Amino acid sequence: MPAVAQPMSGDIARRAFDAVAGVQRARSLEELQGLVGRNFSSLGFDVWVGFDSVTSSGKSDVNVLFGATHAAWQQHYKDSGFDQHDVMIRETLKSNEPFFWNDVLQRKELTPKEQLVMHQAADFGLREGFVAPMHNLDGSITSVLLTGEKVDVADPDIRAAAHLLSMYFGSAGRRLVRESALQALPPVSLSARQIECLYWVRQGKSATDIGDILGISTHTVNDYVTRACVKLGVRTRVQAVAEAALRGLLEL
Amino acid sequence: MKVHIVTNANRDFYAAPLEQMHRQRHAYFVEDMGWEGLRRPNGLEVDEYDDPHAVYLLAMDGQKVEGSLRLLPTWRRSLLVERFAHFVSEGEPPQGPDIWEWTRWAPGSLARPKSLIRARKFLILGALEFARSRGIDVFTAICDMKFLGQMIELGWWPTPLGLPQEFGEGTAVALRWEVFPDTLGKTRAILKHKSATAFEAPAFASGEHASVSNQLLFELFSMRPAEIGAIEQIVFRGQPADRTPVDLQNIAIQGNA
Repeated sequence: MPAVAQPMSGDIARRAFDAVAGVQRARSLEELQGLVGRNFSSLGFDVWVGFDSVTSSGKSDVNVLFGATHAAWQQHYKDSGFDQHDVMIRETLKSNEPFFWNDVLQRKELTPKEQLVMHQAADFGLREGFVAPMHNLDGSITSVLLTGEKVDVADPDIRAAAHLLSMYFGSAGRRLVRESALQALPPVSLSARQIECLYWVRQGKSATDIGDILGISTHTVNDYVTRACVKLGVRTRVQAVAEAALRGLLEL
Repeated sequence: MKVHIVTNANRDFYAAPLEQMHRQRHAYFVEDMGWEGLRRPNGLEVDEYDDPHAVYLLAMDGQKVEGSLRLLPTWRRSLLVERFAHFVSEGEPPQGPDIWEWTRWAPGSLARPKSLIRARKFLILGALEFARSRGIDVFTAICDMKFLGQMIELGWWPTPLGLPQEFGEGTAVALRWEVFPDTLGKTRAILKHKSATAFEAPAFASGEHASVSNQLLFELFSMRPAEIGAIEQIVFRGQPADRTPVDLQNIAIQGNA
């Protein structure tokens, strides 16, 4: 047991709720970082990080998206290509169920390389961690990792708090990453007719069909679609549909 | 796809869809989610909260139920109050005239993910349209932790009322979230869906021609606007002149929300 005083049960819930409130107030990734830090560390965590862990083709590939990492470990992990031998990343493939490292270590035989990753993590002071996988619709996985040298993982309230916080932190972080990616796109506005034409393109209609549906000439339809392509910065009709949908201009 | 709002007033229209719903709930909770406690020999998942106060949102393609959600008026019935009060560590479980509880969230079948995603979207928006039509300010739920992430990403800011706990079939957390005037619009933007999804049938008719007109109405709900014209003549034969076919068409297209 660590020498520091552990927070009382009601205290843990209170701190977890404060951290959730902080996460919800965040309007940017920077704010997220600033608002949650104190609450997370008051629960004993000193690393809280959201990262892409598995690509849509099922390949382990760790990329940090947001949060506070252990910088030295992150660098060493990346330089050594540890994501290929990280048993915890492999565990995220199984389900959305979050887990503590020790849960996995107790029931699994590690390969020598997997053992090496865990031993070196311990050398960097990371002896126990909580991982919450979030499976995305495209098959890729984003995960949240919470660790801390002073975390008492045997305490059921700490486990419950870690579960709750990782969900809020991970989901809010993911939303903010998406929003900032959208904001980085130059703003585009399409006319009602252009959107209408793209809608029918999406339905698989030809320019002639669309002209018949909307009661305009094929030439005019092509003109609308071409202008939409230019505004969206794409070359083909299909790209225009995808790009318009991404920006929320077109309902799918 | 439409989200049909089934209340005690119009439930007689929906005998067959409601049975489909109970069957689909069994498939979803028992087969997909593995909640063995809900397994029944007849393959229908029904509990004591399926009473006249419950309101069902049925995501239907034509006459086929793809997914469902049960809403409970907390001032009458509430799982959070009656069964899961220990999930609330601060204050009392929310209960009151503007507060409804989400229960039996069953958007479809994991075997048909595309349909599930679509029904999920329609049910979420349908519930917000229902909230608008009833002046609901707050939703509560015992939320399986598997779904918490989705709720947060919808931007609803659900507030946890206690730490997550085991509930017998997994881990869940008690939540409340407010429905603001702009929640529907924002959620539509996130889900990239602009039009109304919900439809609430008028109260079930009784009397001489009830069975014929009720059947016609029911068929009408699942039709495309273009097909409605042919039917509305029949439905409104002998009806007072103030109910015009145009009204009916608007109702069918937009729902009551």
